[in-house]
Amino acid sequence: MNLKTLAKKSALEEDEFLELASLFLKTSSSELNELQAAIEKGDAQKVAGLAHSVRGAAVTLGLTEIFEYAKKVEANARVNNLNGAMRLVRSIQEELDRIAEGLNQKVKFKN
Amino acid sequence: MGKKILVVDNHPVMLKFMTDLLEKGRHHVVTAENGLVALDILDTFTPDVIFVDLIMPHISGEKLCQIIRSNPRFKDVCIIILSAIAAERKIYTTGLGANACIAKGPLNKMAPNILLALEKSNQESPAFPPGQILGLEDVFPRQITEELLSIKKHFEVILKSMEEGILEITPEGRIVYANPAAVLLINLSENKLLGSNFTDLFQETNRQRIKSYLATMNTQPQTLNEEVSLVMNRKQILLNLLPPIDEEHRTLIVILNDVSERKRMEAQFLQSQKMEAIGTLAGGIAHDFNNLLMVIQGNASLMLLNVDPLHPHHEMLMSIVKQVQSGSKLTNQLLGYARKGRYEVKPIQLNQLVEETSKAFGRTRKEITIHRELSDDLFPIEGDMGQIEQVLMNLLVNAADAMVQGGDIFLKTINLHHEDIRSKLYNPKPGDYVLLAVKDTGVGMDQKTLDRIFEPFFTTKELGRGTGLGLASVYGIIKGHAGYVDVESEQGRGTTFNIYLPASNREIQKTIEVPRHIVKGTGTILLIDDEEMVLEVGERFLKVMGYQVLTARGGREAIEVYKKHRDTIDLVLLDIIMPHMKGGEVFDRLKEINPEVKVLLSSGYSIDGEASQILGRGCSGFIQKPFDMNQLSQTIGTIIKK
Repeated sequence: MNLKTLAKKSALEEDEFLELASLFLKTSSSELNELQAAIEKGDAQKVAGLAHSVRGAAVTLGLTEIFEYAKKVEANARVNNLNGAMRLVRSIQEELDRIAEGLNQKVKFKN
Repeated sequence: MGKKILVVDNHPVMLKFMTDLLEKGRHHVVTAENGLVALDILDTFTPDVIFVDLIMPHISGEKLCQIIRSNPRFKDVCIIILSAIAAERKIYTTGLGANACIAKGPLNKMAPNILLALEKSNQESPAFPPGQILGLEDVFPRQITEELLSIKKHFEVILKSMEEGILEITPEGRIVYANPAAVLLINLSENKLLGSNFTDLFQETNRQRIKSYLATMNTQPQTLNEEVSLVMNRKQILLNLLPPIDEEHRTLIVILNDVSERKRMEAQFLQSQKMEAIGTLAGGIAHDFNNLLMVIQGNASLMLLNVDPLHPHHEMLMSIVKQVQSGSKLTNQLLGYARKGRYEVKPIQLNQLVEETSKAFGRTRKEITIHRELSDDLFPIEGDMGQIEQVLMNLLVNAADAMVQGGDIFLKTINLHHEDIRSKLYNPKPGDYVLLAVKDTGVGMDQKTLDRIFEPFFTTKELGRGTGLGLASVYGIIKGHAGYVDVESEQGRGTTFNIYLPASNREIQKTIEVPRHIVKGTGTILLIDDEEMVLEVGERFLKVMGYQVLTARGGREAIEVYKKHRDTIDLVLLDIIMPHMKGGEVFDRLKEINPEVKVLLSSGYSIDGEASQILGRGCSGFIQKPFDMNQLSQTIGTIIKK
């Protein structure tokens, strides 16, 4: 995933997009922590709600992978199925890490 | 020219994106992360355009739209819905009061639609046909959201059908959700309710308590089941507070239980229990006093027979007799309150009684004008003439006492059906009723006094003037007649007593005036009483009247005596309340021995209609203690002649 491509696709200035992306990163990171806790507790309803929020923001930014993972987590959680949820959350985390890395590079580049 | 824009969305990314996009167009942008914050902003800020997300915590977008549209200040505001659920569900923008709806999707697709909607927001006519959703073609199909909505709907149905009022409030006490039962209970429109302060709903004296509940909830979350009811919208409410689910959902759930009816029933039950207990006590005292008075009266009367009217003792004896009569009036009032049974029940024309009694009363109180509005075709009632007269007299005295400077009393009688008796305090038995209303233009009463007026010994009159028994006896007598009494009063506006008595379908009998002197007679009378003194006085009474007397101190002895002398005994004078064998049983045994036996009942009181029951089994009559020689001789005379 290339942030630059995504920025272009969003029709926003690159700066603006990066700002949104870092905001998304911040919000989603805390949501992901809560997600993990909720999965461990077996609170399916909460899992569904959190996944719903992550996926909503992901789609606006065109982060299709995150969108797909979150969608799966939510769909399963709706029918009380948390099997594999942790694995999917980890995948989302990896995607977020990648965005974080990309953002870091941009910052470094700027400096 | 830039517009003033409010963006309401719970996701920071959306808020940031919208702010950047709109500020680029030189618009003034204000953001809110939920509906409640939006309401606070709208208190002082009147935007040109509002972008609203639909699914948000603390007042949903739907509700927010409704609240905004119900405020005239925002009638020109353009509302644009910006929602992810637009893709799955038809959103009727017009129903929500919105001007346009944009589906959430990738930024590059959403941005042009937002700008387009903004551009068209100036137009007077609807910018887009209702039901059209911009950007729908660009979003991913979202099956899941639909499920989310259907689950939400399911809960919505449950909440809507619950009898308890359910509120969701923020830790600060702001209301963000109210189910229909809560709206009904609080009696404020949902629009006004949402965003308002929970504490303010309660009566001022309760607010500190609510505040401390909320403080407790914030420091030590726990389920609070309050036993003390609080007053909200003149209703008694029991609260049940549920703590926040977790850190993310900080709101509290409040369950409101309307216990007004239950509390009222409890109070009513306690009141009637209290009245019952005092009644039993009062009745017992009255009974014992009547026996004492009987003996004093009897001895005084007997002495009077032998004392020359010019002798100085004659006047003193007369005074004793007079005082006994006053005492007997007092015990009669007590009995009126305590007694459930009646004696001397016959069909009465209430109008005649009202007219006679009120005219006699009017002559003693010149400063009072009495107005009568008596129905021509009034049903007869079944009652004890003396007791009903006592009721009316008590009400007249009270009315007059409430109008020291003079005034008007309105007496009204009218036929009613049980359905016309609208009062919450009782549930009248089906049938026809007669209403007697006594209305005055006096000082009236406050609620505290009203609550207690029928209690015996409760009086507002100065010491020595009121006995506190007048209205208590009214209550007891009317209850004893299977009737109902209620009172309406307002301080400074006068008082109205309404008395409802069941109508009778029996013909009214003509009463025969009895002469007021001792009727002498011949024959043998068996006198039964457990009180030695009463027996002694009674025996002397009867002898003076010319009768032979046999006595018995109890039921068993009486049966023995009667068996032995049944051919010579013309009448039995029987006390009802006796130890071992009660009057009722004695009567039945005598009846077995001789079905034609003539029995006159006497009592210091009658409980549970015992006297009426015995009368119903073929007893010849009843005489109330203390009786004087005139009364006794006349009653006996009438029975023996039959």
